[in-house]
Amino acid sequence: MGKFILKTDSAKKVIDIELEGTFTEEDGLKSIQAYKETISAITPADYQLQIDCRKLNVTAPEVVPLLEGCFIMFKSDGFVRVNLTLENNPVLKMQLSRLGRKAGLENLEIISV
Amino acid sequence: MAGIRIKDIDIYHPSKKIGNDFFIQHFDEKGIDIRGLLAALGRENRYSIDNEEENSLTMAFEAASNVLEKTGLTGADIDLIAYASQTPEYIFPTNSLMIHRLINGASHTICIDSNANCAGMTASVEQVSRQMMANPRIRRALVIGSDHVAPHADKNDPVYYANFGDAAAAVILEHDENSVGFIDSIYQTDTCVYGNSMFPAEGLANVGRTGVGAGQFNVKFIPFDDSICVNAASESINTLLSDNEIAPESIKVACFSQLSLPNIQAVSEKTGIGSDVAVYIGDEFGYTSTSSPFIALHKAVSTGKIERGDKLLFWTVGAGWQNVAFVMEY
Repeated sequence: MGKFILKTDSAKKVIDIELEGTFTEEDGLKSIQAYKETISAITPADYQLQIDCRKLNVTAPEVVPLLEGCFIMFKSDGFVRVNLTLENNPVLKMQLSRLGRKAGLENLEIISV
Repeated sequence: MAGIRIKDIDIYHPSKKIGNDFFIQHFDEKGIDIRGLLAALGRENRYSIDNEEENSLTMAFEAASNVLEKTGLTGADIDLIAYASQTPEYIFPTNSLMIHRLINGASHTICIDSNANCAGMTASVEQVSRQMMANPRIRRALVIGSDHVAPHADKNDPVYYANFGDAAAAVILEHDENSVGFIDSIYQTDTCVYGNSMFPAEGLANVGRTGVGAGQFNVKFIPFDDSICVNAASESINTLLSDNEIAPESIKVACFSQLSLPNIQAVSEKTGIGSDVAVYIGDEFGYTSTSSPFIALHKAVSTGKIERGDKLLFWTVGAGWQNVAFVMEY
């Protein structure tokens, strides 16, 4: 089961999302709904989006199309910058970088730690 | 007639372009004039990885993704993945297995890495085509060639440091009921220079024993006259064409090793291939080793130099060395 924690820091203009576990399609839809409710109250173009995927099982192939859809959504919402933090995994990093480019998310930075 | 044909091809290269001037200055500072060497081989530019994010595997993934997107196929449509590299990023698992994961390949997919050095991708396409002719379970194969030689080149060695470029190519081979496709191939092996290009210089076992110091395990290269492969290549190609009753003038495009422009011209002349038939991309890409004949094919396809049904000839040579040639209908 996937868990998500979503926090808005209005002073620093940052939205922090922590993702954990293995996301089913239902988990994904719930988190997207929560995300949409959060950004409806702000102007995303003023904000930075920071997504911590270190505890997320993103190596599960079924999560990848979900992330691709999210990248398209982040692009259209127009954040100043989108940061994605992963456990050190060069292969996954290259896969997600390509998805980001495909979605036209030019301000995506993937940090491998 | 059913055959194994190239469904499509695509490539990837890093964004940074380096011209000859950079290398000329580098070697001038060492008192070595490489202008003659670069001019003789036909070099002008090459693309080069300039960050820690990219390597031979990332380039392979990009090229593979490009060709899949172009053809509208997905990983699930591929029955065999063959990955050719002399600079594989990993020894295990196979790099083809990693590509399988990245493209969400099917569970029945065969994953193999191969290494025939600079002849690698040509040998892989040849071997996979032969395998597909014998194995009806393989309807579609993805063959990728990718090399990133620069980190392993001795910066005091003009041949390895100044000539190579980074790039990858990926082709999809497909069983097609209505095409001739792959026709025939020939190999010619001569081990007279088997010790002239060795990597890692001290052997893999020593990497484990003594660790890896920067530059310690570069390519060990003893210069030799590479033009001696011209006669072997010409003999091979002449035999190949003659055995299959193919007139040299019916070859529309020749995709040869891009190591040396004079070698391409000499092989063309000795085999009766027209001077404008062999595609040269070594001026733009440098020498991309395993993928070099396929980068040439990509240029021929993208510029409309070749059309479906045209006869296509490949030849290249791997360190040591081994000549590989095959002919097919595009």
